[in-house]
Amino acid sequence: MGKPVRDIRMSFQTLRVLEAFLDNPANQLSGADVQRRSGLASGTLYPILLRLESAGWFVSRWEAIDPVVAGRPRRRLYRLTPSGLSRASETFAIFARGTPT
Amino acid sequence: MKSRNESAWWPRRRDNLARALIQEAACNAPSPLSGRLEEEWLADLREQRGTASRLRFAIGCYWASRVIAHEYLAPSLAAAERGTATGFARYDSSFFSSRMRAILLTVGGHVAVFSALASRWQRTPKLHPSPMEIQFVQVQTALVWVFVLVGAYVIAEVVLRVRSSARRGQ
Repeated sequence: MGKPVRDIRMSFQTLRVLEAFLDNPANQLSGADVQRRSGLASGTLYPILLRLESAGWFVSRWEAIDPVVAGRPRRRLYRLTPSGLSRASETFAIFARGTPT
Repeated sequence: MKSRNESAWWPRRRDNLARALIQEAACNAPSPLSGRLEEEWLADLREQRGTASRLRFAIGCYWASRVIAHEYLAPSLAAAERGTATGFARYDSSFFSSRMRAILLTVGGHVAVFSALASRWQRTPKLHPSPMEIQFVQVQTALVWVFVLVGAYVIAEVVLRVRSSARRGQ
């Protein structure tokens, strides 16, 4: 996504998405994977993924497969960036302390 | 007895509907994202189990495309010169055009007024209304509700637009 967004509104749903990635930060997950893990509806999930990507928390890339050989379309995979990981960890730490800044 | 192909007809139709919904949703998304979202959502659609969940997923994507369009366009609109309607007209993400909204509001207003008048007309309610009369009242009530909901949607949209433009103005 080309347009940077100023802030990320840390809603419960956004935390659910981040939690799905924080289980194993090195994981690259597709939207469907995140949906399964977070239990969010697609209407909620994809705007959050794009929001986090445009804010630099995530990067995404196409799955490196040949759709003809694999017999299925390539998926878009999302991954936490190092800064996204630190910000997500920080956010969860703040929520755990119960003292939002 | 139904053959296997015949029994699969309805789920296949629903899958086609889900695909069509996603393609439509992708068209509604901002053009730089449209192709990417279509491919991504169609790939993720394949991972949904069951036709009902695929349909639900597609409806969600449709909703997501409206949200994404709204959010994506807000910064570009802010960047554009205030007072120029060109960017807004090009990227208008509302469900109805301004003309359609005006027509719906006018028709809705008329229906509401006529319904109110018609219900007040008969001051002494009949003890045994005919089935036709009951049906008429039911249709009338349903119409009023439809227009009330459309009116509420339009008002909400106008309020959101005013709020977002006020925020941009700050």
